[in-house]
Amino acid sequence: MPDTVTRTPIKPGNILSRIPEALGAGVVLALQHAAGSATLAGQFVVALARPQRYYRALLTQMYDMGISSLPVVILVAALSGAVTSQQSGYQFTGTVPIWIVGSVVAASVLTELGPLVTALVLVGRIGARIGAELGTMVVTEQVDALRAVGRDPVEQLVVPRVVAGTLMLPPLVVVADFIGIGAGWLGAILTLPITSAEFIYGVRTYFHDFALWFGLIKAAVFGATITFIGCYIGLKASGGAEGVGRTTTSVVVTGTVTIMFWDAILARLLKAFG
Amino acid sequence: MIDIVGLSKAFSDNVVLDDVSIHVPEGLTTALFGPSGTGKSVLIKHIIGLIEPDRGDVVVDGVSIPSANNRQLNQVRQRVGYVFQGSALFDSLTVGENIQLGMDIDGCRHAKSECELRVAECLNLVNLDPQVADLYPIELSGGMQKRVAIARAFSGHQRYLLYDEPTTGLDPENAFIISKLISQLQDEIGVTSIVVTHDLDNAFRVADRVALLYRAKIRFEGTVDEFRNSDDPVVQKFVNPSEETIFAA
Repeated sequence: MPDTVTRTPIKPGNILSRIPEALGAGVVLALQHAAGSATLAGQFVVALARPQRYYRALLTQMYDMGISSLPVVILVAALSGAVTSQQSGYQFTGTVPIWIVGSVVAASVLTELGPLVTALVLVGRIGARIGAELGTMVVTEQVDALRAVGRDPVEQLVVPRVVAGTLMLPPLVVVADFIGIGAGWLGAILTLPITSAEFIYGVRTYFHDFALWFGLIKAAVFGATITFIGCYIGLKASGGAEGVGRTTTSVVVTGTVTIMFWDAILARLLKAFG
Repeated sequence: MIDIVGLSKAFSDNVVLDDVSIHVPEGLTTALFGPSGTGKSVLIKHIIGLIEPDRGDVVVDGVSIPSANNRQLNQVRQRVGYVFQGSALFDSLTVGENIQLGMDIDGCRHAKSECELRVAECLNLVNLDPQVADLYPIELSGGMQKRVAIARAFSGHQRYLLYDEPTTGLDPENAFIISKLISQLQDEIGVTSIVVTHDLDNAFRVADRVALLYRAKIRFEGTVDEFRNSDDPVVQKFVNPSEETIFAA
């Protein structure tokens, strides 16, 4: 006798009655991820104390995340600075002193565009790469193979990546700041009725040390966040090539949302301390 | 000595292992045989603590794996070599570096030349040219990758070797080479081995003893001859697969 499949028809009432169940499942999932992240963070802190085990991988990761990311960071920072100076210039011409353009460019680049745009670019470049790399290692049993030879995957895979991200984002943001302000200056003097002296006066009028430091602190937080999310989601991968694809998407979406969330919180802190 | 006692494991509602007990005698090769998807790999992953059981115990050299701390677990893992089904070689490391991973964690930093000699020795034992050490896994064929995975598993003078489907996905010639290599290592370095397989020819070629995992339980455990001559209809279904024995089981 052939196998049969019985289908239960979906009634409209069924969908509504499933909402609490779906919400409950969402809450449970969120709590599971919170507990999983906290566990990984704890293991990270413990593994951090053995630098002799991971320093080589750390140097490789620092090169990959820092030097190799420079071209894209420079390009995006230059475009952001140039666009900011032109947009603000068009809006301010004839209403406020034109040197304000210099202040707007410095403020935007140092506190927001430098760290935020660099972080968002690196969510795609570094976060997605880490997610795909670790996800592939999980589905091809390479992570199990590490455990099988008595190595700690957190020490070998997570620590070098998260430390490298935390250390390399600030210098990349310094580069992005210089390039962004430089491109803003170039864009302004080429397209707006402003002199170099006026632009520099505007930059100096805004500039205060704390803005630079704050941008660097944000960069370090963003670097740790991007790499940690990449590692956490990558190590949870399952289901072969399709699973690795889902992992990469999840790293980019979660990383972008978390960076924006951090940016909102850190902006409040800037206001409180700055 | 490896003892598996009353081991049970379920993934959601799917019971994979139900009160499984196996004694693995010292110095012999035990083939863990069974149809695909019956939990053979899950069973041997318990031996090195890659999976935690729901109930039961796995004891390796007197250490209870489910209740071992990280230090004890890592000590056991350094005595047990594991050959993964897909080889699981690290793409970013050379063959030589992959093999060194199986050795003492910090040892190779202090005695680099000794480690390089040991890598060459291991490659020699698995019938590969020592120059292969400088290649990356992607540059090797499937059969060669499997042999490197075996070399990694015993490079640290491990006492136990666990092979997870070592001949799956290989052509008959390479499957034969790997089976021969498992027997040769048994003779030359005298390790205790468990070979997970659903390939009966491979099981008979390499094993001293056979355990049949069937529907989450150990259905048979004994010598190869006892397995061949068993009158259990389920065993017969695998030894002499025919319409008659399959429907009888």
